[in-house]
Amino acid sequence: MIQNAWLIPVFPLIAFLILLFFGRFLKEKAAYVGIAGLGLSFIVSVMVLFERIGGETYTYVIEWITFGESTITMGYEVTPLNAMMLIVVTLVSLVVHIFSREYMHDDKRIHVFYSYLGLFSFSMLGLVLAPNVLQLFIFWELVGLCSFLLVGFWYFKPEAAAAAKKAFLTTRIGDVGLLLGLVILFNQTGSFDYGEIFAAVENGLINDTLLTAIALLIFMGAVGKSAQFPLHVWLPDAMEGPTPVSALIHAATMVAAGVYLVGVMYPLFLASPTAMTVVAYTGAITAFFAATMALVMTDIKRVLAYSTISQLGFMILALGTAGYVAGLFHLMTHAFFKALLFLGAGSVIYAVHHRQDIRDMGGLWGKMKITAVTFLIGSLAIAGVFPLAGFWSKEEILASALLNGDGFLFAIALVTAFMTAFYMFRLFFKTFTGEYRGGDHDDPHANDPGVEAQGAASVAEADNPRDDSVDQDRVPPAEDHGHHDAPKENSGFMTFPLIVLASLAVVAGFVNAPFLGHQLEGFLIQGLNVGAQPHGELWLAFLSLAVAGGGIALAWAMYYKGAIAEDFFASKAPGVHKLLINKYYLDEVYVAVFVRPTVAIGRFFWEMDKSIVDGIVNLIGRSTRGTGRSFSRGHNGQLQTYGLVSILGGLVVIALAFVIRGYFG
Amino acid sequence: MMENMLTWLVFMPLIGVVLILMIPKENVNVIRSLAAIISGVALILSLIIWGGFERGVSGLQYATTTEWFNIGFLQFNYEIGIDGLSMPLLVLTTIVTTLSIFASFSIVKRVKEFYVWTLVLLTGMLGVFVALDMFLFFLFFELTLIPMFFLIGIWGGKMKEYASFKFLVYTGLGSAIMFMTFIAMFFKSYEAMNMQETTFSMIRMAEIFADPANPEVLTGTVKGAIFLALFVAFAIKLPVFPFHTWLPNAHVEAPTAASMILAGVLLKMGGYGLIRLGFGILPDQAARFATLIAILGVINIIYGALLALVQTDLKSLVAYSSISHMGIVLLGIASFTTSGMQGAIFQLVSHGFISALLFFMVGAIYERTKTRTISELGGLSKSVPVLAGFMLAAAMASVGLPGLSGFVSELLAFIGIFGASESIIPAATTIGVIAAIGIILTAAYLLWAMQRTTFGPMKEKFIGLPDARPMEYVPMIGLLALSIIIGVYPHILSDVINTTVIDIVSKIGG
Amino acid sequence: MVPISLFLSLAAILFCIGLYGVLTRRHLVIVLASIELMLNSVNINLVAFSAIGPFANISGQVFTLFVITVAAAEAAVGLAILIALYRNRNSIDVIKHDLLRW
Repeated sequence: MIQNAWLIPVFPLIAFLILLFFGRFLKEKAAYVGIAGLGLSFIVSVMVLFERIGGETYTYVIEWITFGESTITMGYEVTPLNAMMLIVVTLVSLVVHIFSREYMHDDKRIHVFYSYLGLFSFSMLGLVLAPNVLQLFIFWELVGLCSFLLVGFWYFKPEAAAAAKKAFLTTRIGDVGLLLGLVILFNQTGSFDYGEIFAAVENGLINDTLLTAIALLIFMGAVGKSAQFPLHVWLPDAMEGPTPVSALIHAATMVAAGVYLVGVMYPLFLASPTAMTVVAYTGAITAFFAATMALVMTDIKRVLAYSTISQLGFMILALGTAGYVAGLFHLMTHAFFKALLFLGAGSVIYAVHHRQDIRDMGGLWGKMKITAVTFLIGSLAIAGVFPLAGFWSKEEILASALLNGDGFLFAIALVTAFMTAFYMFRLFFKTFTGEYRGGDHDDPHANDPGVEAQGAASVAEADNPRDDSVDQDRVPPAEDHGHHDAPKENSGFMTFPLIVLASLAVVAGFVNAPFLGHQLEGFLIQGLNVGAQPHGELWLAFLSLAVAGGGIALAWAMYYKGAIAEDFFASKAPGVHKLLINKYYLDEVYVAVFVRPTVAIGRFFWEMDKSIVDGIVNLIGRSTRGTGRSFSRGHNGQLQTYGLVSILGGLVVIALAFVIRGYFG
Repeated sequence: MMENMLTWLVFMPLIGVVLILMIPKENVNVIRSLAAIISGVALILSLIIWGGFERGVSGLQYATTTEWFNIGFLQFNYEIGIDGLSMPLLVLTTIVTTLSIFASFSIVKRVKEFYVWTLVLLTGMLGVFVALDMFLFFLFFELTLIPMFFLIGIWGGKMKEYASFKFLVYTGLGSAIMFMTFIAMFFKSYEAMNMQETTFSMIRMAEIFADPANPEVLTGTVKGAIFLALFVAFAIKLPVFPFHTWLPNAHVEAPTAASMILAGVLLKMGGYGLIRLGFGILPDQAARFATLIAILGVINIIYGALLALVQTDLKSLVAYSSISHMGIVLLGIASFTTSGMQGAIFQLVSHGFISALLFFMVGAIYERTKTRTISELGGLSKSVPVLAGFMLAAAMASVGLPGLSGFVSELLAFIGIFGASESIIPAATTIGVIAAIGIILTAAYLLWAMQRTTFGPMKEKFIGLPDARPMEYVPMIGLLALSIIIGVYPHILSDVINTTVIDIVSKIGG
Repeated sequence: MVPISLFLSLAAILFCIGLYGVLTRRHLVIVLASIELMLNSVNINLVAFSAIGPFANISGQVFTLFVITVAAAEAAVGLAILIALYRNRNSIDVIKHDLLRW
C-alpha cells in the first residue's frame, strides 16, 4: 500500500474536480462526494501508517524540470513524520467534511464549499507527502490559496473579502522569505531533496553565516503560515470564514504547516544555534502575546484563534529548544483538541443562530449536552489536565524549554500555560454555564466599544438581517430556523465529529506517554539525527498540572462563582485592557508603517511617471510637432511668396559661394 | 513539405488574407470562421513543428537558406530556422493569436479589415521568431507595427488616435535604432573581415564578432556601443523603464484581442531580440552590462508593481503588471546562468498566456459592465461567477502561484540571480532580495483589485449580467489550461529549451 | 561694336522687371506676361552670346527658337489653366488661390 500513497491526495482532488464540474447539479449531495473522497484517503492513510511502522521510508520521484545540468524532481515520500501527519490531516479533514454537511446546508453554494475543501485536502496532503522542499513549497502556496478562497467564501461580506486578502498577503510575506531561503539553499547544495540538503549541512558545505540566513529565511515562511509574531495578524481576521474552515485550516492543519516545515528542515536549524534561538524566542513571545489577547476577546472564534496562535507558539518554542518530538507531538494533539474546540464552537454558533459573542451565550450546558461535554474535554485537554492529550505534549514542551532553553523561556511558557487554562475556562463558563443571554434582543452590543474594537463583523454577521436583494445565496439563519428558538443540540452530523475528536483528545496523548515508553518518539526520530530528546522529571508534570489547575480555578472564581468581579482586572488596569482589546494596535501600526507609505510611494511614482517619464516622451513629440508647425507658417500657399523665398534663397547660396570661395577677397 | 514547414507556417496567414479579401465584407460569419480556421491551421502547423523538434540537439532545426536578391556587393538571403529559444515562442504566437481571434468574435465594426490585419500581424510575428537574417528580421519586425497600429487606431477606445500614434512612433523609433545598429554591425563586420566578406546572417555575425580576422576593428567601445544600441532598441519593445510609457496607453485603448496579442506576443519580441541578437552575437558585452540589465530588471519589477498598486483602471493595472513581469525576464537573462536564462524564456511564454488571459477577462467584464474603474466594479462573483472565477485564476497565475506557469519562471529566475557569479553581477544577492519585494507587491495589487472587483457586495446595476458565452470558454479554458500544464509539468517546456540555453550561457564560459 | 555688357544689362533689367511682376502682381494674366518678359530677357542673352560671346556659335540662336516655342506653348497652357481656374473659382487673383497650403 505504501507504494500507492499517492492515492491519498488524489481522492480529494478527484472530489474537487467532480464538484468543480458537476457540483451545481449535486447541490447538497456534494457533501457526500467530499466525505467519500476523504474517507478513502483516511483508509489509505491508516494502511500506509501501519505499513510504515514496520517498514522503510518509501520515495518515488519523476523529473520535473531540467536546466543546465540540474534536474528538479517531484514525487512522494513516506517518512515517519509524514505518515503521522497523513493520519492527522485526513482524520480532521474527514470529520470536518462530515460536520459541514449540517453546518453549511443552508448555503446555496455548498458544492463550492466542498470543492474548496477537497482542493485544500489535496494540497495539504500533497504538502505532507512532498519528497523535497520545493514540492512542499508548491503545496504550501496552494493551501494558502485554499485558505484565501475559504476565508473569502462569503465574499459578499466586505470583512470576509478583506480578511481573505489580508490572510493571503501576510502569509505571502513569509513565503517570499521561504522562497529566497530555498533558492539560496539550492544554489548552495544543488538540490531541493531533504537528504542531499542535510548531507550538505552535515558535511559543512555551507558556511555558518549563510546557514543561519537560510534557516531564518525558511523560518520566515513558518512565521507567516503558522501566524507567529509579528505576522500573526491575519489569523484572527481569518475567522470570517465558515467555522468548519477555521477548525480544519486555521487550527488543525494549514497553520501547523509552519511547524511541520521547521520539523522537516530540522537538521538545518540544529546546525545553526542562532537560528534556534530566534525560533525559540519567536515561539515564546508569540505564545505569550497571543494568550494575553485571548484573555479579553469576547468573540468565541477569536478567543480560539488567539489560542491557536499561542499553541503554535508553544510548538515553535519546543522546536527552538531542541524538542523535536515535543513540538510535533503537540502539533498532533493540538490538531485534535483544537479542531474539537472549533467544531464545538461551530455547533454552539449554529445553535444560537450565528451569534459569536460569548456575552450573548451562557447556560448552554443543559441545552446541548454533547457539545458541552466534548467542549469541556477539549478545554481540559488544551489546559493540560492529566491524562488528556494536551497534558503529555505540553509537559514535554515545558521540559525542553527548561532543559535546553533558559529560565526566561521556561517562565514564559509557564505563565502562558496558566493563561491558557484561564481563558479557555473563561470561554467555557461564559458559554455553557449561567443563564442564556441570547434571548430576544436583536443587537445586544451594538454600542459596546469592546465589540466594535474586535470587529463588528461578527456581530453584523450574527444579527443584522442582510440585504436580501443582493445576498440571495445565504439565507439569513434567522429566517431559516427561527430567530427566537431556544438553542438545542444539533444533529448527528455535527455531534459525531465532536465525539470522535473528543475521544482522540483523551487518548492521543498516550502514544508518547513516558510510562508507555515514548512510542511516538521512537517512531519519529528513526533515521534522523535530531539529538537527544529532553524529558522532564516528575515534579515538572505536577507543576504543569498545578498551573493549569490555578488557571481553571481563577476562571471558575470569576465567571462561574462570581467570587471575583468579571471586570476586576479590566478596571484595575484599564490601559492594559484597552491595549489588549485593540490587539496591541499592531494592525494600525502595520497600516501606518507599511501599507500607507507603499501606496504613497506608488502614487508618487505614478505622478512622476505621468509628468516626467511620459512627460519627456510627450515633450519630444510636442516639440517636434511645434517645430513643424512654426515652419509650416511660412507655407501660406501663396505662389509668389514661395517664389520670393526661393529667389532669395538662391541669392544667399550664390553669395555664400562667393564668400566661401573668396571671389570678393 | 517537412523541410519547408517554417516557410509554410510563416506565409500561410497571408494566403488567408488573400482568401478573406475575396469574400464580400457583409459575410461576417464566413470571415470570422475563415480567420479562425486559418489561425487554427497555423496552430496545427506549429504543433507539428513542435512535435518534430528534436530535443537535446544543439543548433538550428528546420533551417533553410536561399539567395533572395543582391544589390551590388550586398547579398540578401532568405535564411530561417529555429532553436530551443524560438520554438516555444512560435507556438505561443499561434496559440495566442488563434485564441484572440476567438476572443474577437464580438467585434462588429469593419470585421473584414480586422481579420486581415490580425493575419498580417501573425505573419509578421512568426517571421520575427524564425528569421535568422538580420535584414529579414527587421522586415518582419516592422511588419508587426502597421497592423497593430491599425488594430489600436480603428478598433480602440476613446484615445485611440493618441495611443496608436504613440505606439507607432515610439516602437518605430526602436526599429529605427535597430536598423541603424544592423547597418553599423554590417559595416563593422565587413571591415573586421578585411573587406573580404559581407553578411547579414545572425549566425555568421556571431562567429565574426567572436573571432574577427581583424580584431582591431571590433574594439570594446565599438562592441559596447552596438550592444547598448541593440538593448535600447529591444528595451522599447519589452518594455524597460524608462521606455515603457507607450505600453499603458496602447493597452488601455486597444481592443481586447489586440491587447492579448500585444501583451502575449509583441512584448516577447523584445525579449527574444535581446537574447537572440544581444546575447547571441555579443555575449561578452552582455556580460559586461549584466549588472545594468539586472538593475533595470529590478527597477521594472518594483516600479511596475508600485504603479499597478495605485491604478484605478483595471486594464491599466494589468498593463503595469506586464511591465513588472518583464523585469523578471531581464533579471533572468542578466544572471547568465542556465536557470536564469531558462526562467526568462519561461517567463516570456508564461506571461504570454497569463497576460492574454488577464486582458481577455478584463475585456469580457468591460463588455458587460461598461466600466473598467475598479471602484465601480464589485461583487462580480455573484453576477458573473464563471468570469469572476477565471479572473481570479488569472490573477493567481499572475501572482506566481505554484502549480501555474508564472511560479516556475519566477523560481528559475531567482535561482539564476542568486546563483549569478560575482564577476558578472557583483551585488546579485541584494538585487535578488529587492526583486523579491516585487513578489509581495504583485500579490498586493492583484489581490487588492480582486477584492474590489470580484468580491464584495454585488452592485445593483450588475444584476442579471450574462455570464460567459460558449465561444468565450475557448480562450479562457485554453489559456488557463496551458498555464496549468506548464506550471504542473514544466519539463514539457524545459526539454525543448534546455540545450539552447546551455549553448547561450556557455558562450560566456559560465 | 556694341559691347556685350550692354546686352547683358538690358537682359538683366528685363529679367528683374519680369521677376518683380511675377512676385508682386495679383492679376494672373499679368503674371503670365511677366514670365514671358523673363523668358525674353533670357533670349536676349542667348542671342547676344551667340553673336559676340567668347565661344560664339549658332546653337544659342537655335536655343532661342526653342524658348520662343516653349513660351508660346506655355502661354497657351497657362491661359487655359487660368480660364479653367476662373470658371471654377470666379477669380484670377493670385492671393485667393492658396491651395498649396497643407
